[in-house]
Amino acid sequence: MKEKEDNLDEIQVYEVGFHILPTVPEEKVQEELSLIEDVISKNGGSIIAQDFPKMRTLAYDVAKTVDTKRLSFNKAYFGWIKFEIGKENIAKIKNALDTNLNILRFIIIKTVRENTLHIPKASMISKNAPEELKVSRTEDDFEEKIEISEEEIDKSIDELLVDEEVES
Amino acid sequence: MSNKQNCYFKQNGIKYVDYKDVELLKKFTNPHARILSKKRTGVSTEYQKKLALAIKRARFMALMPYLSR
Repeated sequence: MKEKEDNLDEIQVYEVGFHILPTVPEEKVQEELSLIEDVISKNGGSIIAQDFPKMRTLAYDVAKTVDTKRLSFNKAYFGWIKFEIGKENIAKIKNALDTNLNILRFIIIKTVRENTLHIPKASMISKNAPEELKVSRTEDDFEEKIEISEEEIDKSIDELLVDEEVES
Repeated sequence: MSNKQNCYFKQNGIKYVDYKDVELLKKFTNPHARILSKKRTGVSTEYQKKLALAIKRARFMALMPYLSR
């Protein structure tokens, strides 16, 4: 019995997180990133959100065989791209990333269109936190929540009513 | 016994647990980098599953350690 048949035509939102080798010079990182972006767009995907790869230290050493030599790395440029693509094409993306020699490690996960990063409350971000951090936390497509007290709502409704009365 | 909701994720309105949010995930691991039980943290079953998956993804991507100390 097969209740759930995989509908391959369906569009699914995916996210690819990747480590670019630290041996890649800083100015070439953009090229590597656009290589990955090209793979996605060539296979009919459209990018929803992304973060530029930043150098970060890894929690443990990750080994990769480069030219028959087994090298281990303790830092890498970590970046991610969120995109949507037909389910039948995601395997192609995986194959393309597998053959990319400058990617240390990557992960493809199913996700949702909304921003999944937790945004700390304003009080949790210290005032002297780097500007960069604040921007990266508030970017993307999460809906801005504006808090309006009940009083204000009542007031604005009253104003509208007054306007209408004046008109009539 | 109180019936108060203790789940950190439900209290803070966090819908998705992202593997990239290492600072958040770290709160739910002990100094040996093991995942804390939901008995200790009060996280609901629903979110403990999501949390565990996120931590395992973060470990694979070397954003979090498999073990430390």
